[in-house]
Amino acid sequence: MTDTGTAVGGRAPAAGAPAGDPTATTTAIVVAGAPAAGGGAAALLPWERGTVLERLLGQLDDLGIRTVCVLVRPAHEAAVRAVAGNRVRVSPDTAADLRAIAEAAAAPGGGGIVILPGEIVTHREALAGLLKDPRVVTGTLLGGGWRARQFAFRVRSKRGRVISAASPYHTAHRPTSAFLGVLKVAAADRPALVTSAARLAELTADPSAEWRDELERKTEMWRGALWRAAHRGGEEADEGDGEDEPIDEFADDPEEPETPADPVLSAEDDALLREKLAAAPEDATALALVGLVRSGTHVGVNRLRRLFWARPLSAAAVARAEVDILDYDEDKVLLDSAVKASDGFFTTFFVSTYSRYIARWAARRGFTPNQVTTFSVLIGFLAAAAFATGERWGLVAGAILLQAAFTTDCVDGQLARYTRTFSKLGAWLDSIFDRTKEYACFAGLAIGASRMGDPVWTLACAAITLQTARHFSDFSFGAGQSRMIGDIEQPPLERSLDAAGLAAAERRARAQQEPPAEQPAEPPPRPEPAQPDPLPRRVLRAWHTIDRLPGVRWVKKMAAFPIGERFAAISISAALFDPRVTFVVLLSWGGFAVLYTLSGRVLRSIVR
Amino acid sequence: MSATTTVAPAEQRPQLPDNVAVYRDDGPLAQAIGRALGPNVPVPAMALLVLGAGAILALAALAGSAASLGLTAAGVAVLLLTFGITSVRYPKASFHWAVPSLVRVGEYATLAWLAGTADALPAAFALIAALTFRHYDLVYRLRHRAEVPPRWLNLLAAGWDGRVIIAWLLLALGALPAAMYVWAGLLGAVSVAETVASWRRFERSRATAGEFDELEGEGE
Repeated sequence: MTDTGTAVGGRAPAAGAPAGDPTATTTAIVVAGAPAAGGGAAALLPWERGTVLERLLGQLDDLGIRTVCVLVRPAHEAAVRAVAGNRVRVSPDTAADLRAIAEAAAAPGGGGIVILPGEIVTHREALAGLLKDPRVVTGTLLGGGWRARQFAFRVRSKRGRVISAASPYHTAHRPTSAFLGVLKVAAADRPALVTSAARLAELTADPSAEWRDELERKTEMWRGALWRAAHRGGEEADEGDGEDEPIDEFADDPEEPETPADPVLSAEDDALLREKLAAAPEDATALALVGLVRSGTHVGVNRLRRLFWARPLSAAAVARAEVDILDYDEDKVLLDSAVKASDGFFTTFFVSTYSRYIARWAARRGFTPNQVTTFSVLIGFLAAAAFATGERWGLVAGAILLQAAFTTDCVDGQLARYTRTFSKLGAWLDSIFDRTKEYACFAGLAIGASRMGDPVWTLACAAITLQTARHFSDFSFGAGQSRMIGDIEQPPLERSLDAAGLAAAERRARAQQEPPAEQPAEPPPRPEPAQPDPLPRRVLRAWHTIDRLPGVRWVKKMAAFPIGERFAAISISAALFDPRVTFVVLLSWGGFAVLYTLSGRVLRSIVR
Repeated sequence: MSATTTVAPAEQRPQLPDNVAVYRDDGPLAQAIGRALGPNVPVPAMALLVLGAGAILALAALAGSAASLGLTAAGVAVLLLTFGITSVRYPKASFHWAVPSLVRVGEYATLAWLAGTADALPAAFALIAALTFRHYDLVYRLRHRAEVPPRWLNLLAAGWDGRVIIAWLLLALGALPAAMYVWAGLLGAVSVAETVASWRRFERSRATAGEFDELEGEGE
């Protein structure tokens, strides 16, 4: 690939950035407009012996990003130039930042672009997680636990796609996580970025009344959040990293003290709020994200997991970050987050607990995920062959081998996530070999049973049909959901409310028998629906509510009979009983799972 | 290299085929039945699919391996009609997800039932196993590479409609189980070989088509 060659400050490509990789991110735009408390740019706050910006530029360089452009306010130009050399571009305000982003995206050639604020403090691995993951073509770094990151703009994501994003002037209805400032835009999505950033530049130059109201609303929201945090007492709990779980900012929380109409903050909190308010309108990255999402671009999701992240706006906050980041064992976090968050009960508690260490061992020995996958399917075939003997020893050996195959199967994914060697081929091998192993074992068990004079071929045919049908229901349901998400009509950038927010405002307006609100008025604290919701919707809501009870989530996962549970059921029933029992167990549990998922999906399909 | 050449061939993106249509794996006959009868039969698509799959399961459970050749022919005809009509008529969009599973249940159950009447269930298992490779491959191909199999492979696989007819013909000719084993072996070998070859082509071109959809938790 021909890079822009004469890139400002261009340097030799770093190892790890394969030349010619069309998914590679080659350009970084660092937005350093946010002011620090007490003057100066937040990006220039001191970090160890240098500055926050120097640290970030070093990380980007290490990640093989050759073209870097730092957008800086005229007042800070000299200071930033001392750090970033000739990679600086003067940009008087946020509108100019957005114009610069549009121009950089319109420049011919080059690969992907990453846009991020200059004051960001996080691990290199957090940036690498987003930039080096080829599965996320265009995407953002998100984090859960927004209470701990109370000022980060929120987003709502669904099925790994951002469907709504907030900015100083935009809201995200029923957010699911916080936007952590890093936005990666693939080469293919650069045209969308050009158009939306240019439009945003026009709008930002002179914010409308609607936009100014929204910023005012956010100010009150932050003020309330700070007040509540101060009056809650006790430590601020990090809520972990909820996958697309909605966190409703207006949700009833019995622990939450009632916020007064005009909360008075402590001097410290008040200073914090003022710092944030000075920086918020400068957040060109958040605006660029809104632009992409509103233009219908597929913006994927990459999660911070449990790494450190901060956007300090004062010397004191940087000093705190310097200390806090030391508490994080990067390798341990990486290894822990290599475990898929959405796995089932058996996989999570009986396999991933130790398989991650095998994954680390494999990484150190230099094994590739695809080698491990292939090894896993070979063990699976051995298990099937052992089952096919029909003898007791064969059934026991097959059971053990199948578990070994399943463990290696978990290792390959964890190895891929740990070493970030994702590939489409790898994902395909993993999926197709999982099916191969499972159905080969069905065949082995049925052959073994026939040898022992107990033909179970009817059951075997039923089991393979049931499992395939279950998978196809999942595939089609997933595809339908993704399609629906893609079909969401995004409101124009002028509107502060997103599609869901506008719909909710309209519902409220109708309920109050008033003309539809033209402006995004402060939502009433408890919007009462005019009439009770239909029964299916109430059942669904109750269904989600019981998830909060301890253990219920795991029971629900087990009921769906995921792969870990299936392989465990095969191993245990084959080793202790015989193939007939295995098939009966597979068919009964699988049949129950069909009824279980079916009822959920039918309910959802009716509600829609 | 220009920015746009890194994406999938332009003609692929806009006309990504409908998942349900791909997963169904209809053959030419099913589509012909759908075109001919689809618009004229005032029965909801969902009812037809449930009726077709239910009829086969009921026949297999009640008549089982004792079913006469005539009864199996009737079963195949019911399946062709009910499922064939739905090849052009879909249920309401929010129920699309149920269609491919019902088609698979109807197809696999028919194959097993037909083979069962000739005491050839192991051969049916072999054929179904070979078919699962094809069917999962339809999904993964679309997901990872935004592609559908080449036309010749689809014609060779004959669609679910072609397959139940071939199975019935083999049964009527008394060629079970041997012919079904050969069929399963050929179908499996050709599907695997074509998939491996297409992956090699794909990896060589290093094109990155479509969006990777991990479908967390449901993708397996």
